[in-house]
Amino acid sequence: MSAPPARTLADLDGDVLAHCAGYLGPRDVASLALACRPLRAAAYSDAVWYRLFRDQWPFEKVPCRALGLRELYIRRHTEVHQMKYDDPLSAIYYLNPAETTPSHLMLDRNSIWLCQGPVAKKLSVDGPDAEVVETHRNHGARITCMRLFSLVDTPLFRSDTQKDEKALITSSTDRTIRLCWKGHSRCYKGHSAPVTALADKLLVDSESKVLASGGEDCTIRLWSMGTRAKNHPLIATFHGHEKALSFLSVARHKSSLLVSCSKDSKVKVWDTVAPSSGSSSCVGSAHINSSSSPIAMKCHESLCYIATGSEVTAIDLRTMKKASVLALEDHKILSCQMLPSEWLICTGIKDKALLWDIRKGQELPNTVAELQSDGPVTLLHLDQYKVVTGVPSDGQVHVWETRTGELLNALSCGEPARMGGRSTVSAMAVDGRRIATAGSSPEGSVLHYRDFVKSSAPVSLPGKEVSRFWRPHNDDSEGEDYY
Amino acid sequence: MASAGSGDEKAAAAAMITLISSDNEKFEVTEATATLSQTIRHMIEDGCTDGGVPLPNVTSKILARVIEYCKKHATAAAGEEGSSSSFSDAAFLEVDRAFLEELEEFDDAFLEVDRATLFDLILAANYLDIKGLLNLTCQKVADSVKGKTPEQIREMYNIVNDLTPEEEAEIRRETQWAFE
Repeated sequence: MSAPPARTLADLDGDVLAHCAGYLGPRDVASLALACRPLRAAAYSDAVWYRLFRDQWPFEKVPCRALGLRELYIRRHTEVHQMKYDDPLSAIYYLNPAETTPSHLMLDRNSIWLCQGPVAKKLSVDGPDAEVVETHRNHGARITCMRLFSLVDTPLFRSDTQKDEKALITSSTDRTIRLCWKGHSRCYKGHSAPVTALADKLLVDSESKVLASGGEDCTIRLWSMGTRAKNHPLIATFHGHEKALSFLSVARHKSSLLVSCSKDSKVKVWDTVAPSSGSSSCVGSAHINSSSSPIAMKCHESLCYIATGSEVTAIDLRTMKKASVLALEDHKILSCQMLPSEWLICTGIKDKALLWDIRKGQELPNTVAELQSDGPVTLLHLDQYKVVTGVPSDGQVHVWETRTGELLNALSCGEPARMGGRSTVSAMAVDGRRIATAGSSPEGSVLHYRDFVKSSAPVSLPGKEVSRFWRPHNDDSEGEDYY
Repeated sequence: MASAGSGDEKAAAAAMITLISSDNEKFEVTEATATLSQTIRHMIEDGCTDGGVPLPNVTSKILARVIEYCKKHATAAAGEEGSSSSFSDAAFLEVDRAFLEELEEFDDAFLEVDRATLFDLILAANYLDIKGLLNLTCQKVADSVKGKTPEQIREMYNIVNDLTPEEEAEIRRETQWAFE
């Protein structure tokens, strides 16, 4: 009897494969499904998704027969990301009324970073409590921009136990840039005027990561994030812009290309590998005809999208050819979020937010939805599930479904005890199913954090029918079967 | 009680079961070892193990490994039963911990096999319904997949991608959220 051919993973039967997949999280299960047909069948099996569902939502009821469990999981995942519930895990932190109103807010899992004037703080949320775990008072003047990068990519990284940590980088009008993590910090000095922009990602050099910054001195500077460059981190200075830098973004098709945009809407592309000082590293430039300064910029694949005035323009970074993506006639864009992977752009204007489908960019662009608001939409978030809009003078933010433009929820940002009083929203950050807002009322400022992952009571908005699918735990009056 | 327990053990030790691999090799094992397999336990309960248990799906090479696993874990199970009667004794708990550590080391060493053997062990564990061995081997496969891209998984396991581009695009669409 000849030896049978060696078995491979796909030869295992479905039950066994499903058993293997039972030890994996959603991302690995998805990777398995993409490998081949037998693995897809195993990865899509109900047993796997029942376990994933239970891991994530141990107390949620799972109705029988309603849907496949994978579809059920995705439905629940979507609803959680759309914040369609009334009972999120909520934490409130009262800010000192004597301090400046928060201007920037960032969210990463259960940590919140905010800056108030020259001070940056990190809050940690644990259950209903939020507390300040780090306070950085190194800057002498107002913080202009803040970024979070993996600690691993910075010179503050010491050991593998820190590999999930995030480091904060801030730029300030005091002409410096600070890198901070817990009690450690580094200061980057070189700009001769206020620093106004930090790149959205770190550039990749052959040896280490590189941070790009831009300032009112019209220069772009590159700083090595390698540990060996401790005493001389400044690698290069790029001259060429005539106005202060507004945005810096790393090209997505080539991680050594930097795109810069200055206040006069001039766009330049820089090759940062083996850079030499001066303008010789500039490999492309374009000028967007706009009288006003840029509002947002985002790189996607080999394109760079820039919002200025009442237009959004796309530049192909390989050819520097410009194409108008959308034009809003005479409406000035106040805020803009781009999701090019889904062909979506959302613009905030004086009385609403407009969601655009940019697939038919050359023809008349399609408005997917108009999201009405009571004032100028300056706070905006867009992802594949939802749009979140905020008007500073309004005491709440609104959550809308991305595909339909339907209003899903309204979240108040003021002090809960004083609902209805005059309150404002000064900053907002969204990370998947979590949202943080900074609001203030005459009585003081509050930071409100909400996480919708475990929530289950459907939101009841006036005049809207509520999905009956996910009901509160105690309501099983219909006598449906559950797993 | 204690003497009755050891008497049972002796009786169990005396009862030997013969397992016959697909290539006709015979393996003599104690009933305690054999009954780690639910499949064999049922056969014993139904009284159909006389003249040996033929296992046409398991080669002698794999069966030898499976028996090695069962022997070790059968002793472990016996050890646990022995100590449970005097669980309040700290010394016994200490012994238990040492034993569990030894068992863990055994499992780690047991998994040091090539992929083809691992898959054969999984199939045997599934066929013989040996829960512990199935969990152990499936966990090993799961660990090898963790954090890998679909391309890396295919490469690692010599898998031919039989998905059409349309199917692949559909799965990507359906699972995109998981990669955020």
